[in-house]
Amino acid sequence: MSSESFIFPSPQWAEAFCKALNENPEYREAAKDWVWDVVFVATNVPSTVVNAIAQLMGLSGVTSNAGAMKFKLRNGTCQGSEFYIDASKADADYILEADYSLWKDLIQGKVDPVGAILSRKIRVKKGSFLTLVQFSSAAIKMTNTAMKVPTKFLA
Amino acid sequence: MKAATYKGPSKPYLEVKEVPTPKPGPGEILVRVAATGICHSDIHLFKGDFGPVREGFIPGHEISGWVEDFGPDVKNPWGLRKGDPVIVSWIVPDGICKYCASGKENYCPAAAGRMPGLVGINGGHAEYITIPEIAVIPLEKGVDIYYAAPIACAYGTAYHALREAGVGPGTSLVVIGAGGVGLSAIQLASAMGAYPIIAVDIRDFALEKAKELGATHVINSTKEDPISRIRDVLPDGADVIHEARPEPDLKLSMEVVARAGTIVVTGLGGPKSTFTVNVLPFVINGVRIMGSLGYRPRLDLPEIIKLVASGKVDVRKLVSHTYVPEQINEAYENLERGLHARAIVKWG
Repeated sequence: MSSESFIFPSPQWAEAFCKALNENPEYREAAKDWVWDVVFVATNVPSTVVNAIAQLMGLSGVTSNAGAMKFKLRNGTCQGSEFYIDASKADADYILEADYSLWKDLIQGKVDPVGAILSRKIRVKKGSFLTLVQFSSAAIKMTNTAMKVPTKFLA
Repeated sequence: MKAATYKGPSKPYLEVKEVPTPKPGPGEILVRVAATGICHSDIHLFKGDFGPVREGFIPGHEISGWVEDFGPDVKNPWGLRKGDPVIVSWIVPDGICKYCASGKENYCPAAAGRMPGLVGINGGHAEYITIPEIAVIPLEKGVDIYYAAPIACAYGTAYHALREAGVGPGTSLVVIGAGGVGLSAIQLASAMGAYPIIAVDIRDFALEKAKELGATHVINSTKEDPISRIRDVLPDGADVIHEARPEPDLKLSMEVVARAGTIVVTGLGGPKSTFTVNVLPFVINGVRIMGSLGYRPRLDLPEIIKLVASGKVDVRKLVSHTYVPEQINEAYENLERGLHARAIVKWG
């Protein structure tokens, strides 16, 4: 892992997270049966963060305050990532949505991912809740991986 | 009298022919049948899912009609007179056991062995039926006697399930399966103040009917992802899920039930039907899963009749098809093809 840090959420952060997942054997084992694309939607993203990401991407006039990152997850590997500054454009087998502040807490290790899903702080907008619960170990390894990504929170 | 009698498990299931008109025995009432409903449970019966059915048995358990005569020793607690409009319950409790005494007469052991048109007693697909008086419930004046027949099964089953699940004003409800019972549940729940009411089915015409009867949202699960559509409307899940389809599996229900929510099942399934439940979300979300059989004839049916008489529930809206007795096999054929919301056969 380089010392460079990445704004969350951003295309660069998504790419770094994808790479980190591939480097984590614990995640690979826990998610070996997972074969679905996942979109993580962050809602209520502060405008300072939106503006910084828009600038990073060379965009102007961005009005959405919900961004999304899509990960192509197959058998414990991450086969690619996509970033959407407008979350409504993102689609996948699973769509998990939460406030920006919740994702931030999760990446900082202040929130348990399984508890957040079960208590519906992370909302399963699309996909089987019951299947997701069966991969709770993978969710924990995934969060542990996210905690290792050098992350910069602008708000 | 004219009656539709059982031939066997292959189609056509029934034969319309003349049979002797029954005479009411002790404690029984002779009812002249106005109409009978065409119910999916009959298909289970015809196929032998409830056990062997004797040839000549008269099915039909959703019955309305008029009091024609009284047998000896009738106590007549409702003060019925000849010619009074009534519905006939397919649950015939003994009225004295501990289940009946505790208001659970739909689980009366005696009732399990005598269900008109289903088990033991001839049913109502005929011009007349004799029935123990405890199963005869008076209709209010002004209620259309023909369209009232589904009160004795579809509405009754739906109403009891909704009551058992605690549906009331503001309850969010998902009804899976917009057949006769599911549609009745939607209509009753709307009258009871449930909101929102989401109907899920695979047939567009059934969903159109669901909207007409009070569904606030409808989902064709062959065209849309029902999980995400329901979560769009109810991010925290539904307070109550009513599994009213013939083969319930709880899969969708467990995905969209709210914490501390209730799943109530009325679809009977086949003899080998099972469902599996993921234990962790079941326990930590405090989900209540309950089966609900029929209704309490002396308690639930009069309440539904009041709802109908008050105009809050228009039973005429539920019935999509009306048949004459000679078309009864066609009626079951159409039922199996999924063409009905609810169908009735007019006998009188």
